[in-house]
Amino acid sequence: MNSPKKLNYEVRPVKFTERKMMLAILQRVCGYFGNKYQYIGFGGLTFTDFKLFHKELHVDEMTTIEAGSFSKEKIEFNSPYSFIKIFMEGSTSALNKIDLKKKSLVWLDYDGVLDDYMFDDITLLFSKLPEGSIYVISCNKELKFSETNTEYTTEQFKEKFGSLVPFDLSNEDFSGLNNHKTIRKMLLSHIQKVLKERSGIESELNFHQLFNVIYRENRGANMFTYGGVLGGDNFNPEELSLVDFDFFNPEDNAYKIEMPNLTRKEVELINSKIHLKEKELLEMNVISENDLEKYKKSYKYMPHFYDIRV
Amino acid sequence: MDNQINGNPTKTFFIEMITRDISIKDAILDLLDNSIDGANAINPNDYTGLYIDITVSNDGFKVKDNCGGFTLETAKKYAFRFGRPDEMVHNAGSIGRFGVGMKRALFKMGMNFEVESKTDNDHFQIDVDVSQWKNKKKTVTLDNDDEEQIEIDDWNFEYQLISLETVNLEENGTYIAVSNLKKEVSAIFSDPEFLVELENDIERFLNFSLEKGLIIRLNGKELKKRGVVLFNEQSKPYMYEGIIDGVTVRISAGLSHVGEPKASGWYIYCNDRLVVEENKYEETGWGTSNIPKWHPDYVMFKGVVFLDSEDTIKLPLTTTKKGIDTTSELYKKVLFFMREAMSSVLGFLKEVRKLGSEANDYRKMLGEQEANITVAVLKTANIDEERLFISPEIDLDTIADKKSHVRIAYNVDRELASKAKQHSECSSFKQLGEYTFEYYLKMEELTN
Repeated sequence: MNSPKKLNYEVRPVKFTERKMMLAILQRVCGYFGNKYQYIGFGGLTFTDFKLFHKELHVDEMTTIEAGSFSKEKIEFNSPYSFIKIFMEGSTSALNKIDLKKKSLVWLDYDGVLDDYMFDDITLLFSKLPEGSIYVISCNKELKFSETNTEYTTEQFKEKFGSLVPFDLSNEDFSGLNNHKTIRKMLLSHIQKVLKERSGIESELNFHQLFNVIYRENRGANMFTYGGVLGGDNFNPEELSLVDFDFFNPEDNAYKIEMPNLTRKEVELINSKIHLKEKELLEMNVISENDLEKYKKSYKYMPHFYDIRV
Repeated sequence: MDNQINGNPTKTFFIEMITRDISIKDAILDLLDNSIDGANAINPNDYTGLYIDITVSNDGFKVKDNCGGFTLETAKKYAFRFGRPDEMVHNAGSIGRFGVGMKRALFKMGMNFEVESKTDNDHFQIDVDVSQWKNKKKTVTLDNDDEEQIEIDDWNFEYQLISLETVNLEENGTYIAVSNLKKEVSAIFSDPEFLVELENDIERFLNFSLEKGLIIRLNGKELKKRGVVLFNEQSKPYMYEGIIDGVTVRISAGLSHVGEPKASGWYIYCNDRLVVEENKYEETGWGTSNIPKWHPDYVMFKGVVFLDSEDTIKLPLTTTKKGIDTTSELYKKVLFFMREAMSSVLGFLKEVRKLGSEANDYRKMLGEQEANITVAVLKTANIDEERLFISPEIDLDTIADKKSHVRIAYNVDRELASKAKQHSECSSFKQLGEYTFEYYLKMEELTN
C-alpha cells in the first residue's frame, strides 16, 4: 500500500489491463448472484478500482483499508465518493471490524511479498463470507523476506509459514517459473481448509477459481493475482460461460499478461489488419509476430495514454 | 463348570489400575468436584453460603462441605459402584461422569476411609477398611442342575445409619475422612511445598466456583479466586455463542496483561471446571494452519472456551479431567471458531510487533488504560457483536517511522575513524557515521 508513492496507479498499463480483464469476469459473476455487493479493497490515493467497480458493477458500499504512511486527511481528500469508509490500519485488524457476513467483493492488492498475515486475512474472510462472495489477492510473486529482500531457503520458509507450506516443497518451488504456483497451492489449500472446517457448522461452500494471473509492470515487480468465487451446492460455474474469456483461468498454470511496445501509428496499423490480414501485416516487417500475439491477447483491455494539459 | 475360566478382576488388581494414573492433587480435585456438583444442584448461579473445608496432615485427610450431600439411593445405586451404570440419570451440569472419581481418590490415599452424607431425608455413613474389603468373599449358588455353591469376591460396601457418637455433619452435606494413609501419601502430605501446590491448583482449577461465591478452606486458610481477565474497553474481545452437537459453546478471546507470559494461551472450562489452561500448543490451534507457534510477541493473547452440557457425556473430556479429547467431532467444530478468534487477535499483535523497540511500552500502556472483564462475567455477558474482535488503536505514525528508517552499522579501524572524526569536526563516532553517509549521498547526487 506504499507503492502509490512510487508511481501513480492510473498510469500503470499492465495493472490497468488486469483490472479491465477482471471486470469482464466480475460483471458476469456478480450478475449471476444478483443483489448488491460491498467492496473491500486498498484504495490507495487514486481509488482506481473503487471508481471502476462503482461505475461498472454499481457497487455503492465500499471500504478502503490503508496501512501506509499517508495521513487520514490525505486519504479522505483523495477519496472520490463520500460513501467510502476508511480504515487506517492493517488489513487483519480492519477485516475484524467489517461485517463480512454481507456478500462481498474483496480485492486485497497487497504491494509486498507473501506474508503470514495474508493467511490470517483468508481465515477471517472465509470463516464468514456468504455465497457469491469474491476474493482476490495480488502480491509480489517472489518468495523473499519482506524486510531484507533476500530469498528464503526451504528451511526458513517452513519456519515462517509452518504448516501452510506444501508437504513436498523443494528449492525449485522458489524459482521464477514456479514461485506463483507455490503461492497458489498455499492459498488454495488454506482456503479449502477453512471452508472444510466451516462446513461442520453451516452448509458447505466451495471455492471456484476465477483468476490466476501473472504480469510484470514495465521494469517493475513481478506480480501474481489469484482469486475466485464462493459457491454453494447448486452453483455451477459453467453456466457463466466464462470460457469466452481467454484470461479466465480455473487451471494450475497462470495466465500471463504481456504488453506489446507499440507506437500509436503501429496500433492503428494492427487494428486495420487484425484477424483477417495478419499474414500481410507481418510481411510489412513493421510489427513482430511476438508483439502481434501480445497485442491480440490484451488490446480489448489496454489503456492508451496521451499527454494532455491540465 | 469345568470349562469356565475366571475372568473376574481381582479387587487388588482393580484398585492398582484405577489409582495408578492419577496424582494425589488430581484425586483431591476429584473429591472437590463432587462437592461442587452438590452446590450446583442447589443453585447453579450462586454458591454464596456454601463451603468446603479441606484438612491435610501426615496422618489423615478430611473434606467437609455443606453442599447438599447425596441420598442413600444415590449411594446404593451409583456413588459406590465402580463405573457409572448406563441407566443413571445425569446430574444437570455436573462434572463427575465416569463414576470412578470418589472411589479412586479414597483408594489412592489410605487404607481406611469413612464417608458420611446428610440430606433432608437420609443421614448415613459408610466405613471401609480396605484390607478387609479386599478379602471379603461371598457364597453364591450357581443356577445349574447341582445348585453348586461357590465363593466369589464380594464388592459390596456396607452403610450404617448415623448414631449420635459418629455424627460429623450438622447441615446437609458430605464428610469424608481418610486415615491410615499410605506411606507415600503421608510423605507427600508432610511436604510443605505440597500444600502450596495444592492451594495453587485449587485456586486455578476451581476459580469459577470461587467466583460464584463458594468458600474453600485448606487447613483453615481461605483460598482466593484467581482467574483469567480480558481487556474490555478500547478493545472488545471476540465473542461467539452457539449450540454445537447439544453442547452450549461460548468462546471469547482477546488481549490481557503482559505481566505473566506463562498465563497466555487458551483456557477451556467444561461445566465451569477448568480442564485446559495456559495452552499454547497444537491442541488449541497454535502452530497449525495459519496460526503461528506461540511466541513472546503473542503474550497478550488469552482465550476462554466454555463448554456446557447437562449431559456430561457429550463434553469432550478426558477421564482425568485434565484435558480435552481433541479428536472429538465437537471439539473440531469448536476449533474453527478458536482459529477465527486467534486469526483476529494475533493479526493485531503482529501489527504491534512492527512497533519494534516501542512494542513493549505500547503493550504495557494498553494494560494501564483498559478495563478488565473476568471469566465469570465473560461467561454470562451479553454479546453485542458476534465474532468480531475490536482491536485498540495503534499509532500508525510510529510504525511508519520505523518502517521508513533503517539502522546501518559497521566496524572500522579505530585510528582511521578517529582521524576522520577529527577531520570532519564530528563530536562522536555516531555523528561521523551520519556525516559520512550524508557526504556520500551529496557527492553521488542521491538525495531526494
